[in-house]
Amino acid sequence: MSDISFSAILPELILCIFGILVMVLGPFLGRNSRSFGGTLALLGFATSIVGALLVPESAGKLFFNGMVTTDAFSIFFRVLFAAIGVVMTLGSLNYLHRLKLPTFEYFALLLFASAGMNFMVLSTDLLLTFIGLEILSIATYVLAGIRRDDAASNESAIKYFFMGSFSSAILLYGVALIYGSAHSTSYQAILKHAAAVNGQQQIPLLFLIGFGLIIVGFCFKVAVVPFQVWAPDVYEGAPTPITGFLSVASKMAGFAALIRILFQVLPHDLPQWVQLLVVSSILTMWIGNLSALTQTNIKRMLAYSSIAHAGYILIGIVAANQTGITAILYYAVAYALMNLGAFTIITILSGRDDRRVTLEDYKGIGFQYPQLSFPLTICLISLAGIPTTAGFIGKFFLFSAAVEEKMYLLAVLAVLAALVSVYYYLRVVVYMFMFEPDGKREVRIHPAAGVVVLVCCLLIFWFGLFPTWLLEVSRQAVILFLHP
Amino acid sequence: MQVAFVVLLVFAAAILAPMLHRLLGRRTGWWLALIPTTIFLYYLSRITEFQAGGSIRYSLEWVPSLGLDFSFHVDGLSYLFVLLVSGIGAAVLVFGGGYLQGHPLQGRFYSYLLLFMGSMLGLVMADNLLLLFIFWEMTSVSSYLLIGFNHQDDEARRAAWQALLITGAGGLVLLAGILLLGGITGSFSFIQLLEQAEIVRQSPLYLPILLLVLGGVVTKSAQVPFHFWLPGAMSAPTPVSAYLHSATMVKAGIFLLARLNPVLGGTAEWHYLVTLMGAVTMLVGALMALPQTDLKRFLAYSTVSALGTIVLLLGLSTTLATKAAIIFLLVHSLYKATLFMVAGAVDHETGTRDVLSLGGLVRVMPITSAAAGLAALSMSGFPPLLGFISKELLYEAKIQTPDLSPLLLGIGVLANMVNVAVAVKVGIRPFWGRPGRACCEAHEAPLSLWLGPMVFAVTGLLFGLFPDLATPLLEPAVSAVKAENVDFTLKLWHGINPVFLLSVATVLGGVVLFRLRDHIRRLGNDLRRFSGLNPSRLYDRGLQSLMALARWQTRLIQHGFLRQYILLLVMIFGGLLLFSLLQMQEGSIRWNLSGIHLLDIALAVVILLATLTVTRTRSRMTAVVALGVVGFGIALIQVIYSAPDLAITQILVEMLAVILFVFLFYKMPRFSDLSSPGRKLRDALIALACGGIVTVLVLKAVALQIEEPVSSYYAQNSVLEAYGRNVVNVILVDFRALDTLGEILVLSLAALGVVALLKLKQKSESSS
Repeated sequence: MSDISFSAILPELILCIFGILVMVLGPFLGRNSRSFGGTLALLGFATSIVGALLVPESAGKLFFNGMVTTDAFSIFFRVLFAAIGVVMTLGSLNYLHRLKLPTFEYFALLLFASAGMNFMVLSTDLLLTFIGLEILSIATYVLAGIRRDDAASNESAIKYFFMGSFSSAILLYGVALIYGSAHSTSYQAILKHAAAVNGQQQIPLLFLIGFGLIIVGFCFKVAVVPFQVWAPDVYEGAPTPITGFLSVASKMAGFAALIRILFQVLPHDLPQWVQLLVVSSILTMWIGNLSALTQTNIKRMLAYSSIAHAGYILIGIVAANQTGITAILYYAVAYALMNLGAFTIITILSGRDDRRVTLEDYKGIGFQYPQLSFPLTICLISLAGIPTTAGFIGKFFLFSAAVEEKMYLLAVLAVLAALVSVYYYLRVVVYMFMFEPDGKREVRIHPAAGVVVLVCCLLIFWFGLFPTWLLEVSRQAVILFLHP
Repeated sequence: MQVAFVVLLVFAAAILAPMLHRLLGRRTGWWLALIPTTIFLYYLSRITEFQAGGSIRYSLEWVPSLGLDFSFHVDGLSYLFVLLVSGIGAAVLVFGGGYLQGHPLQGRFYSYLLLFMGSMLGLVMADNLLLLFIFWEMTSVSSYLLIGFNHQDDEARRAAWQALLITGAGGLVLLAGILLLGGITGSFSFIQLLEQAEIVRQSPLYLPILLLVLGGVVTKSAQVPFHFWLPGAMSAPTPVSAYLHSATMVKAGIFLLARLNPVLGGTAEWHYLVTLMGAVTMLVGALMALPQTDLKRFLAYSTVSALGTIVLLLGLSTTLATKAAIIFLLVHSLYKATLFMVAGAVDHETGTRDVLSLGGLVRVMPITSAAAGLAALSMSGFPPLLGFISKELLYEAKIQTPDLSPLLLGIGVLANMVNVAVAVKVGIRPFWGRPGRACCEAHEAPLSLWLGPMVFAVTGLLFGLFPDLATPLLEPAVSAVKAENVDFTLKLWHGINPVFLLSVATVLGGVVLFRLRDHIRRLGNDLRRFSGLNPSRLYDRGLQSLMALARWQTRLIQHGFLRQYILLLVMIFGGLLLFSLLQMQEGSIRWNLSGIHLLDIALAVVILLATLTVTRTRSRMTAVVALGVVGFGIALIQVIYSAPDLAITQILVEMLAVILFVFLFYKMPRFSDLSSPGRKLRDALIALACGGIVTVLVLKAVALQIEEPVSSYYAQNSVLEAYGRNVVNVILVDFRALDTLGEILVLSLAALGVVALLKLKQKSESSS
C-alpha cells in the first residue's frame, strides 16, 4: 500500500511520542522533577507546530487508505491546536505546582488530547474521526477530574463522562447507519454514494438519520442547545486551566470536524437540517448569554459565555458561504486568544485552592494588580465584541455571513444577543476597577503565564487592527469546501 | 491624509496626556488645548473650499473583505461638527485644567477627554458606516470613563454604568441596522449609500432599518423614553457635562440622523416617527426642567428638550426645517457650553450649584456674569443674538409644516417659554438677582474658567449682529443634509410678522413662568410623588426583570441533576428519530419471522429479564451481575449468527467489566434514595417510547445489503502478494503489520506502567 506516509501525520506522531515519553518517564523520575513534564510537553507541542508546518500540503491526495488528508484546513487546525497546547502548558505550570497536582499525568493527557483533536481534523473517515473524538474525550474526562480530592472536580468528571458517553454512543449509531447505507465509512465513498442516489431518488432515510445523529454527537461536543446542559456544571468544577481547554480546544476540534462532515461529505441542499441548526444557533446564543447574566462565579459565567460563542460560530455554519466558513476559522483563533488569555489570568488569580473565582474576589484588583486586570479587561472586551479587538472582527464577519444569505432575523437576533453579553463582561471590569479591594491578597505571576497573557493580548489587538493576514489564511484553508 | 492624521494626533495626545501632565503641571490644559485649536484653525482656513461645496475624502484599506476601511469623508455637515468639537474641545481642556486644579487624577482626566475628542472627530468624519459605529462605541466608552471619573461615589458609578448600558446597547442596535443597510446595498460607504438611496427606501427592510438606526439615535441623543441617563450623567465633573452631555456627544445621534437624512429621510414613516419622537422629547424635557433647583440639572433637562427640538426639525425635513435645525444646533452648542462652564465656575468659586442660594454674583464675578448673561439672552432668543434668529426660523418652519402645524407650534412655544425661564434662572438670577447666602466671599474665576465661556458668548453675539459670518458654516451643512445645494441668507430683523409676535409672547410667557417658579417647584414635587412610572424606574425594572428571566430559565435548564440531563438527551434523541421517521414515509417494515428459532426467543427473554432486574434490584452486586447477563446474552446471539470473533471480544470485555465492577462495588452500600413511583413511571414511559422508535428504525433498516467481507481479499491475496499460506500470520506481519507494531507498543507501555506502579508502591511503603 503506497499511500502510507508518515510525514502526513508527523505532528500527531510527535504528540503521541512525547505523550508516551512523559507518561513513561514520569513515574521513574518521581516527584522531584516536576517541571520536567512541563518542559517535555512544551517541547512536544512546539515540535508539533513545526511538524504541522512541514506537512506537505495537498488538497487532493489522501493517505492511509483514504483516511488521512493533509489539506490546508487540517494544517490550519493542527497548528492552532499545537499552539493552544503551548499556551496551556505555559499557563498551567504554576497552577499544577500550587495545587500539588500530578504533573506527568496532566501533561501526558494534554498531549494525547491534542493528538486526538488533530485526528479529528485530518481524518477523512468516520471511524478515524470517531477515534480521534474518543481519544480527546477520554483524556479530557480524566483531566476534568484530575483534582481527585476535590468533590467539584469529581462531579465535573462524572457528569462529563456520562453525558459524553451517551453522545458518543449516539454518534456511533449514526456512523453505523451511514455505513449501512453507503457501505463505507470513508468520506469519499459516502459522498459518491450520496451523489449517486441524489440523482435518481430521494435520499434514503437511514442515510439522513445517520447524519442527523452524527451532527447531534458533535453538537454535544461543541455544546450547542439543546446539548449544552453538561457544559456549565463541567466547566465550573473542572480545574481552571482545563476549563479553558474544554471551552476552547475541544470545542474548536468539534467544530472543525463538523465543518468537514457538513461541507465535504453531506450532500448539499438539505434545508431541514439547516433550519434546525438556525433555531439551535439562536437558542444557543440567547440561552448562553441570558444564563451568563446572573452568574457570580466567573468560571461559570465564562462557561455560559462559551455556549453563546458556540452559537455565534454556528451562524457561520448555517450561512454556509465563503464568508461564514472563513469567519469560523478566524473566530477560532480570536476566540482561542481571548478565552485562553482570560482563563490564564483567572488561573493565576484563583488562589491556593482554585476557589477565588467569584465576582467578589475580583473587587478592586484593578489598580492593585494592573498587570492582570488590564489584560483581563482586554480579553473581556474582545469577548464582548467591542471594536478594535479580534473579537469584534470575528463576530462582525460571522454576522455579515448571515446578512449575505439574507438571514436578517438571525443576524439581528445575534447582534441583540451580543448586546446582552456586553453587560456581564463589563460587569467584571466594573468590579475590578470601580470597587475598593476587600484586603490584600497574595498573587504570584509565574513568568511563563505572564508571557502567555501578554502574547494573547497583543495578538487580540493585532488581529483586531490588522486582520487581513489571518483572514487570508483562513480563506485559503476553507477553499476546498466551496463547491462552485 | 490629514483627516486620519487629525484623529491619530488626538489619540496620541490622549495616551501621552498623563505623562505630559506630570511634566507640565498646572499649565497642561493650555498646552493640550493647542492641539484642538490647531485643528480648529486649520479647518477654519479651508472654509472657502467647503462653502463652494467641496469635501475632503481619504481612504485607506483596512479589511477589504469585510467592506471595512478607514475611509473618511468630510462634507459640510462634518465640517460644522469638526469645528464645534475641536473649538469647544479646546475651551473645555483649558477649563478642565482650571476646574480640576490639583485633583490627583487630573492626568487621567485629560487622557479620557482627549480619547473622547478623537472618537468624536472620527465619528463625524467617517465615511464608512462601520467605522462610524466603531467611533460611536468609543464615545460611549470614553463617556463612561468620564461620568464615572469620581468612582468612589456610588451615584457616579451607577450613572456611568447606566449611560454605558443605554448608549452602548443603542450602538449595537445601530450596528444591526448598519448590517442590514450593507446587506441591501452591498456597501458600507456613505457615499455609495447615497447613490442607492432609492433602493433602500423601496426595500421591504426599510422599516426595520429605520427603527434600528433610530434605536441608536434615541439612546445616544437622550430622546424620550431613554432621556433619563443624561441628567444622571451630570454626576460627571462639570467640564465633562459641558462638553459631552450638551455640546458634542449627545449630538452624535443628531449627526447620524442628519447624515442619513438623504438616505432614509423623506418617507412618511420617517416624518411621523422622527417628528413625534422629537416633539415628545422637547415637551418632556421642558416640563422636567422647570421644577429643578440644581444649575446642572436645569441645563441637563433643557438639553434634553433642545435635542428633541432638533430631532423634530429633522423629522419635518423641509428645507426650512433643516435650516432651522442646523442653526439651532450651532446656537445650542454655543450657549449650552457657555452656561455649563459658567455653572462650573460658579460651583468652583462659591461651592454650590443650588439656584436658591445664589444671587448677586455680578459684583464679585463680573466677567463670568457677562458671559452668562449673553448666553442666557441667546438661549431665550433675544435680539440681537444668534438665538433670536434661530428661534424665528424655528417658528417659521413649524408654521409652514403642512399637517402637524398647530400641535407642533403649541409644544414649541411652550418649550421655548420654559427655555426662557430656565435661561433667566441659570444665567440671570444668580448674577443679578438678590444676593443669596453663597455670594460675597467668592472671587472672580481665574482666566482659564472664564475665557471659554466668554469667547462662545461673544461669538453668539457676533453671529447675531452679523449673520453673514455664520452662513459660510451653515450653508454647506444644510446642503449636505439635504444632499442638494441650498441657498442660505440670514437676517436679524424680519419686521413685525406673526413669527415675531410669537417670539414676544414666548419671552413674556417665559418671564411669567419664572415668576411662578416657586409654585411650579411645589407642583413638581407633588407630582413626583405620583410618578411611579418614570422611565428611569422602568429601566431599573426592565433590568431586574431581564435578570429574573435569566435566573428562571437558568434554573429550569441548568438544575445540575445528571439524571435529568440524561433524560433530556434521551428524549431529544428519540424526538429527532421520530421526527425523521415521520418525515420520510418510504421503506416498509418487513415482518419476516421465518428465520427465528426457539433459541433466539429464549435468549431474548433472558436478556429482557436481566434488564428488568437491573432496573428493579436494590443491590449493586445483583445489578452488576444482571448487566453481565445482558452482555453475555448479546455475545451468544453473536455466536448464533456466526460472528465468533465479535462474540469473543464481547465476552472478554464483559468479564473484565463485571470483575472491575465487583471490585469497585465491594465496599459500597446498597442503593438508597430511590426514585418515587411517579418518576419511575415517567422514566419507564420515556424509555419504552425511545426503545420503540429505535426498534422501528432497526426494522426499517433490515433490508440492507452489506458488501463482500474483507476476509476474502486476504484469502485471495495472501499467497500472491505476501507469499504466505497461513492467512492469519500474513495478516499479522504483512497486511496489518503497522497494527501489530502498535499493539506491541501498547503492550510494552502497559508493562512499563506496571513496573512503574510497582516501583511507586515500594517507594511509598519504604517511606512510610
